[in-house]
Amino acid sequence: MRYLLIVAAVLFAAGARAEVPRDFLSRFEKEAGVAASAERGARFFSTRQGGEWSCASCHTEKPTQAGRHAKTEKAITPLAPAANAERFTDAAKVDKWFRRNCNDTLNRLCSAQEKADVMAWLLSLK
Amino acid sequence: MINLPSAAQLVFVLLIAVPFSAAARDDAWQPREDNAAWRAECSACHIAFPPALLPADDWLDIMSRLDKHYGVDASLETTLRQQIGAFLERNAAANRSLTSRDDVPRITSADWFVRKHQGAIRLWRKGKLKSLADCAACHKGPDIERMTGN
Repeated sequence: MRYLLIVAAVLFAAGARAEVPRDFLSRFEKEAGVAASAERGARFFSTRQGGEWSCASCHTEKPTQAGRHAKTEKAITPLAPAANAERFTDAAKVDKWFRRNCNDTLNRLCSAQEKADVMAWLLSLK
Repeated sequence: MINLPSAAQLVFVLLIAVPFSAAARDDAWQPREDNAAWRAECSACHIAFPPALLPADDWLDIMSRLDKHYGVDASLETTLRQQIGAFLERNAAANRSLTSRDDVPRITSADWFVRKHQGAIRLWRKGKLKSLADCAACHKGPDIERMTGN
């Protein structure tokens, strides 16, 4: 019984651990099985992929600055971790927004490689 | 001796100040209970619209197709969606006259909204206001601030 409680506590602590932006780069690279490319990420970010919007439509081509929602005009805080310490620190949030925004821009989910590339580029911004 | 207001001042008050005084009653739309999930999730993209601005049926309709939310994927995980849905339903407009006249529920197409927002609708038609759903473009103050999640 005591053993089970310890295991539960360790699992809980691991789950509650806050992520840092680099964790997501490693996670997506591992899922993709290839190294990320910041250059590819930059291109992907600012190019429309068949949909009406690119990532840059809301986050701007320079995501160290604030953006604006393309539809509602609501202000969006900077996406690049260098400019906004809150970004990419919560896995549930990261997964939720990749799911929604990839659907809106690509009409499908993003591949692990696409996400790794974007992470690599965002982390390269100063 | 008290200065009487000039005719020009009176005209100013009647034409400019009176229409905007409506903003003073914005708190009438505040829900009776607060809900952190409603404020956080809805205000991620737009102000968290007060539940009293649509009847329960319309909220249920909106919450049942969040993956296609006015042209945007706003999907939520089930527990959160149900929690926010229940809050909207509990605090929805009791009055059916608030039903919108569009095929999808729209606060901005209800009769009361159109009647009260003639000025905003003119600006929107001229392209000077991007979206009629951008309440905070005209309505200022702490009550609106709370709904923007800031």
